[in-house]
Amino acid sequence: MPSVFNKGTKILVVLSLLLAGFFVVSCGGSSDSERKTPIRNQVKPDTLSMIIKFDNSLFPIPSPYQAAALVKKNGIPFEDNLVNSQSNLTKYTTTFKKALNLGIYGTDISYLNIYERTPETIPYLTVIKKLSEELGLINAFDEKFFASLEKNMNNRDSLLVQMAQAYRKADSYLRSNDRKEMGALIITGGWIESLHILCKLATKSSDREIINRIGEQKYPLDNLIELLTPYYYKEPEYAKLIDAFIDLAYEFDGIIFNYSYREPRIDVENKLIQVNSESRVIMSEYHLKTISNKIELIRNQIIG
Amino acid sequence: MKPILYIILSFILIPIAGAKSFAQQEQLQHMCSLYFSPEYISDGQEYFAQLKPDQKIEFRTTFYGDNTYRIVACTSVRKGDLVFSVYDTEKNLLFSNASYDFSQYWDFKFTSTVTCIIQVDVKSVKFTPGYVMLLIGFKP
Repeated sequence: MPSVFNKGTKILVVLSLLLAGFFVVSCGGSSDSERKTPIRNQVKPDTLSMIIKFDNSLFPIPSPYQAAALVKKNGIPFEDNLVNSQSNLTKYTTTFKKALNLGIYGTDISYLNIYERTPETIPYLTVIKKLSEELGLINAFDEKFFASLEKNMNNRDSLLVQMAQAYRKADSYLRSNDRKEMGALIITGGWIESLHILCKLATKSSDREIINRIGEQKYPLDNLIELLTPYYYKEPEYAKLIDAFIDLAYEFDGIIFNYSYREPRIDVENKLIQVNSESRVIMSEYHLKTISNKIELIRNQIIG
Repeated sequence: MKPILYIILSFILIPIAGAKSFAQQEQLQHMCSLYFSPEYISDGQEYFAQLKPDQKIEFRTTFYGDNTYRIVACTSVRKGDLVFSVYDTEKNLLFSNASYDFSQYWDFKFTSTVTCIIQVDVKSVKFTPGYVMLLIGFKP
């Protein structure tokens, strides 16, 4: 016993010294940045340094709000049967389903809100409140947040901003508390619901811009697969979802993307970069139908 | 007595170091948010990474056509300049703030949907440990 204790003590001493070193370095004096000189030469891509991904592994995907905004902009009428019914809430008993559906309901709120469906939005806020409480995200979706939402319910932009802020807060909280997989599931749910809404409306309206937006989900889907893959063996339901996404990605491989680089224009005074590069998506009706069917199957597994 | 002292020391230092790191993250959040004006809606995420020697940080994201985005980049490293560069997937450089006095935020207007690689790095004389954070928002 004493020898074990001594070994443990040595480890603790080393650990303490390391931590003390870290603490001292972190507390080291700092001064303002040195005077900066503008560099007018263009920076070349660096291929020598090692590249790492953002360590929170929350790969960015385009915001679900933008999908809803596009639909509205193109004059597509609102359809209330596209959102997940709030009565489904009682079906979500696992953390896996709760997190995914928190993302789904978040997108639904954006869709309802962009079409100014205030009375329908209120029950969805209750659902978000319940799910966030059950997932331990009460600091992001707190009383203050809901009180402010109720107050600004008729202000479309305010609601969108506050929802986005709450999801950002939740993202930050989950990262700090090493619950990254839950953040990944919330993002995944939001993306699934956006794609579901876009597919349903594209099939009905044949709107070219919406069809293109579906085709443009190829890279975001790749990002999601990469984001979820570390959890493949965590639970069988993760493996099932990732396999379904991989199967869906094969369909996206059949979509043709044309991209041509054009030199961007830089407006220094307004700090605005006009990115002039052009992209074009060529997506057949077959692919639209197949992707639409597959995303519906995936969604049904999650909301059911 | 000595082993007990070491154990006590460890129990004191571990939370202090953790709190220090958390405080740096909070400070970064605050700093980045200052450049994130209310007219931009966050994409709901905070891209946060720890700096490591000789390593750059990058990620890929898709920006939709006919949309304007704001990218804000901040670092906790004071004796260094934060560089953020935006490339397309063919590695054509679209923009780098290194050419513009390392300014921490810029707006990007996309005529077409483009998938980009955002690379972040801190230029300093010698490596200093710290964090970087990126925020992305779009104009509704």
